[in-house]
Amino acid sequence: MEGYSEQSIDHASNALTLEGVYKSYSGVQAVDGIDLIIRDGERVTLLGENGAGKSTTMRIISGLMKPDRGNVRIYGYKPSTMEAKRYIGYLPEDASPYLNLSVMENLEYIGVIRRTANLNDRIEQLMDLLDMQSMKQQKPLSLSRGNRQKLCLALSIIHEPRFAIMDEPLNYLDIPTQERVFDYFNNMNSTFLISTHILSIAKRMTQRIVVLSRGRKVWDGNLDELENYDNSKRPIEAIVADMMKNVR
Amino acid sequence: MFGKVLTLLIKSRFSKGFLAIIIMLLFYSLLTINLGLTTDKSFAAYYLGFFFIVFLASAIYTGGISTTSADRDFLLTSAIGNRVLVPAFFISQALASSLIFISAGSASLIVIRDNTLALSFGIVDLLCMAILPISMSLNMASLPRFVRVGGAAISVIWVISSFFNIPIGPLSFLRGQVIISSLFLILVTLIATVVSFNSIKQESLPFKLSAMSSRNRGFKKLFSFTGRTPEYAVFHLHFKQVDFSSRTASMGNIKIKVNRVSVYTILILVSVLAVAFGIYELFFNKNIPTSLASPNAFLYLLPEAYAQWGLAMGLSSGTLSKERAWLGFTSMPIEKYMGVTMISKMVQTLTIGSPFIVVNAILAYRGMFGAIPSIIIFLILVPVYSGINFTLSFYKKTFQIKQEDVLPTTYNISQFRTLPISFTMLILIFVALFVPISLPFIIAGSIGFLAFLTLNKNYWKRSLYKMIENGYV
Repeated sequence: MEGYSEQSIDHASNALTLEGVYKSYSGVQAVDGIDLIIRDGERVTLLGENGAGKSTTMRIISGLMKPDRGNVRIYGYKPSTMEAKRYIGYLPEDASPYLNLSVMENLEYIGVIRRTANLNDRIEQLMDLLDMQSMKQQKPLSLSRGNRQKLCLALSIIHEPRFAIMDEPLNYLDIPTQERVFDYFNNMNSTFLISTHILSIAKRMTQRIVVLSRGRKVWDGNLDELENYDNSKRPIEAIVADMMKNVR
Repeated sequence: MFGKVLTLLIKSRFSKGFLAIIIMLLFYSLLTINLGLTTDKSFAAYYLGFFFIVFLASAIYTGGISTTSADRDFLLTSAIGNRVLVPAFFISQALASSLIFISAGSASLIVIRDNTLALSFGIVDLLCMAILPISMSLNMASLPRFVRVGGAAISVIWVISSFFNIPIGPLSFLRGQVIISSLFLILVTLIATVVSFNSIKQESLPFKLSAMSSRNRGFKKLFSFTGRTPEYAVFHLHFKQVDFSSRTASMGNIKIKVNRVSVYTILILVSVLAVAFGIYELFFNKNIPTSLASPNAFLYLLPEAYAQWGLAMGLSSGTLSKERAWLGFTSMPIEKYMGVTMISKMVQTLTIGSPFIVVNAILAYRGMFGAIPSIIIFLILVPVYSGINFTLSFYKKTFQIKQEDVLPTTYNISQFRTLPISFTMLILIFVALFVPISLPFIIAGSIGFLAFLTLNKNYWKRSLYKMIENGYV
């Protein structure tokens, strides 16, 4: 293992602590002994090939899956507790909102059950950010896939989470919206854990890269370290592809 | 090419679970009809009429041939002519739907088994009744909703006319008017099928299949969440909206609709039904059963029992298909979210069943056997069974609606693992109605079972983890 060394564990000051986490289902070892610490305010990208265990890891962190073994803490709390839920905002890949609620009702419902302060102002702010003011009364199914993704993004951050866990957050978004979302995220004081296949997104949104392959962590370090990994001056994509290949 | 396309479509629609349902329905109908015929010779016609109404009216209202996104993206865009596609889609859907209808309805022919002529016509009539809903659904699919509602209403009246000695009623062949009833049904089916082939044979077939119904862009105002507590917001959402079991499974294929209907709309509809039932019993029924020994006790309590069971099952089955684990369950502890949702479904069931409580109170005054147990069942047992069914729907492999009009899967046997408990609830309702002394024990046992399931925090968590592993996010 190269790059970041694991620090002494202080659960409460770390946004996330994963210790020896294993998870298998449907006959596949999806997560195979991952250790990971993310400090409060840190921005981390999970990189990995399809089926590397990124989404499973995120589901475990957000409390929707229970690991077979290992320890998971969000600011010192178990993910299934109310305390942990207050901190996190989770956006899965290919997320779908409540289809039986309009855009506005989705935001109001999730805003209320997340105990969002100044909910109406917050909804207006998000609708402006995502350029969705004219869509507030629409059914989610009448929206384009991109606009549905915007709604899901808004739902995941409506309560201004201290720890945002996002699986491919910019999927389907048009370029102007991506730019606005980059700016918005960069101004948030939150911890970010993002999964993406696109390295330019990783570069713009995070400082630290964790590479997963076959459920295992194969690299953990910052972008500069990754770019100079073997002094070969190869594109970063080629370096990451090699890392994943070596695990096979 | 036709054979290949048809095989592909049939393979994509059929599964072991689907065949299991067909076999189960066949046994169920044989048992029910034999039991019903012991009290009334018309029972077979009532039974078949009920199924035909469900199939025909729902087909006309929901309409269309179910296509998967894979059908639309690959099959309808490939270089296959409509001359191949139209019959293949039609036959695959007709086969799937017909098998369910025939397995559910064929036992009704028992009543005419000694009359060769009537039986021969009966078999043809049954096939017509199986095909007619498919043809009509295609004919009505692109028409406005009010026309489809009207068509569905006319179909209901046509079926019911059989019980008022009108010879062209589709069930009149079971009541002695074999020739006219059968010929009329055959004629209607032939015309409807020819028209339906004509309606989808044109070049616009792909568009017809993929955009069968018009879609409004917005919802009517139903919810108001701001200013509520989180718990009340969850209650408000799940109480105020009626989540029908969200697929038209009766059509063989799975067709999903994301509709939202207010609890008050359904309450009005149920109130109309309850008043009609009450008026019939009070003013037109000369033979109200006053004891278990009354010859027609079974027949008159049967609709009550099915209404009670259907209410509990129907109102609690579809909820999770519209839920979103990544939103609801990351905002609130799972046991709290599901507990509040379950209570809201129980209160909703009680609210919608309340008109029948009032009508049964009047019937009890009139001395009808079973009316008092029926009140208690609507008041306690039906909401409890709604809660149990909701709780169990969290355990079985739940499908999620993520896109409209999409077939997420063929019937999967694991979706039916709670069926034995559902049928146990139906049997217990029957027992409670017919043997009133058993009612307190059944209520106590049912509440105990619900408490056993829901007071265990790990039940919700374990079920959620299992569902997420199966792709429910």
